[in-house]
Amino acid sequence: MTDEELVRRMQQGDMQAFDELYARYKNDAYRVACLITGSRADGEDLTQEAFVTCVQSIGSLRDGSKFRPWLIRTLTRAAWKYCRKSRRETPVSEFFETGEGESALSAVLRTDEQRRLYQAMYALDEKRRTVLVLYYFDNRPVKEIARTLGVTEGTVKSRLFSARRHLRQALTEKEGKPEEAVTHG
Amino acid sequence: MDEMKMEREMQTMLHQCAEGLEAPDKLKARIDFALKNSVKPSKVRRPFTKRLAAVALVAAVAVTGAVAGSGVTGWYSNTWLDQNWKDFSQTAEYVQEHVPGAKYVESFSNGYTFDKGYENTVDKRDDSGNTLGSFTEVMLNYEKNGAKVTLGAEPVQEEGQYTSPYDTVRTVGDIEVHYRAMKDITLPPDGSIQPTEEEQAAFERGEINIAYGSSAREEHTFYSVSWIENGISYSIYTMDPCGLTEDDFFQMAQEIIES
Repeated sequence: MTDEELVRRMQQGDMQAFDELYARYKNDAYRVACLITGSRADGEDLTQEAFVTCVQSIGSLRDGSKFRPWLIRTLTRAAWKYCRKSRRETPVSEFFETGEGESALSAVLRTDEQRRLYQAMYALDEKRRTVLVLYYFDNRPVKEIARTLGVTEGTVKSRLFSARRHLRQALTEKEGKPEEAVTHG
Repeated sequence: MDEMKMEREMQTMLHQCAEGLEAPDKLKARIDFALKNSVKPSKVRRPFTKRLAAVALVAAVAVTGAVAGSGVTGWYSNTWLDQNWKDFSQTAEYVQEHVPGAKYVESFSNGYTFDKGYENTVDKRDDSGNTLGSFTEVMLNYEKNGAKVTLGAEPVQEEGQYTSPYDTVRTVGDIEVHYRAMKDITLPPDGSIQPTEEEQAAFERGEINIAYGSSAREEHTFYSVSWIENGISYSIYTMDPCGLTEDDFFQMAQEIIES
């Protein structure tokens, strides 16, 4: 059954259709949420919020075939809001670099370069980080990311450009510190 | 590291982080519980002045291509009921962060006193449900002997319609202040109850508002006073005026303007 048919059934009050859509997209949503927030626990909260919001406003979705991008958009908005709130309460460096998220998600990384990229990504603001996740993880083209986030393609390109520059700088700075190992040693 | 290699490393890094990440089984139970109990978030079709947005577009198509080209046909509000501030100074700080320059008072001369502050995120959507933009609105609730009014402040949006032919207009200084009592019909968001043809026509003429977000059909009258100052749209409103007259609303607006 297509997303469009399932959404139509949901709009008629059939919650089994929601169960099917949930099963179809729960992992996609959860992974994107975890990667944006850097935390499994926060990813779980945000995934919950996104699905609840989608169910509560399913009547407003005219094109059921767009359920997935609609879900991801709802998720990213909740994530931004969450990240802003977290920043007010916790210094971002502490939140992302020493919190549960960093240790939980980055534990699987195999190279120093990947770890440095990870740290650099979580030093970015949530909007640029979201674009990175949708572009490099979710493999969405710029045009679709723009539609998903409700911004222009130019804005997405600008955020990507800025994020890449930041990542390059972070890598270059680290590469330019050969004594670091000595300092720690 | 060259550009191509960095891009490959980014993809690899993110996919490695996501390896083994699967939505936990308990998540579905949490969602079902939240839906059953409507815990959060509370999502309602934006009430009040912004409810006029769709009407504004109907009226604006003929006069401004920019608005017609925006594609926005409705504004949708996310109200985060669990995020609010009882402390006035904390609310004031939040207001200045999100709507810089917005005015507010701690209490009005008629005795209404600050109770709590909270925020709405308003999404602008097209007919397909795509979000084309968004903005934050800050809300301050005031209370007097159990009666409540709300002050809302937000950046003015180009496609918004902030006045109507049905308003009573007065001037405070050089600012036009609009008062209105407007019928509001709130319907379930799942589309299970639809407005009548007459109601839809009245909505499109800007005579009534139709909102979505209740569990059953509800009818209210919104009493509001609104104005625009320095690029910020303000409104003071309530569904239950508890004796507040039109003059009282204008007086409260004046106190904000002169604060």
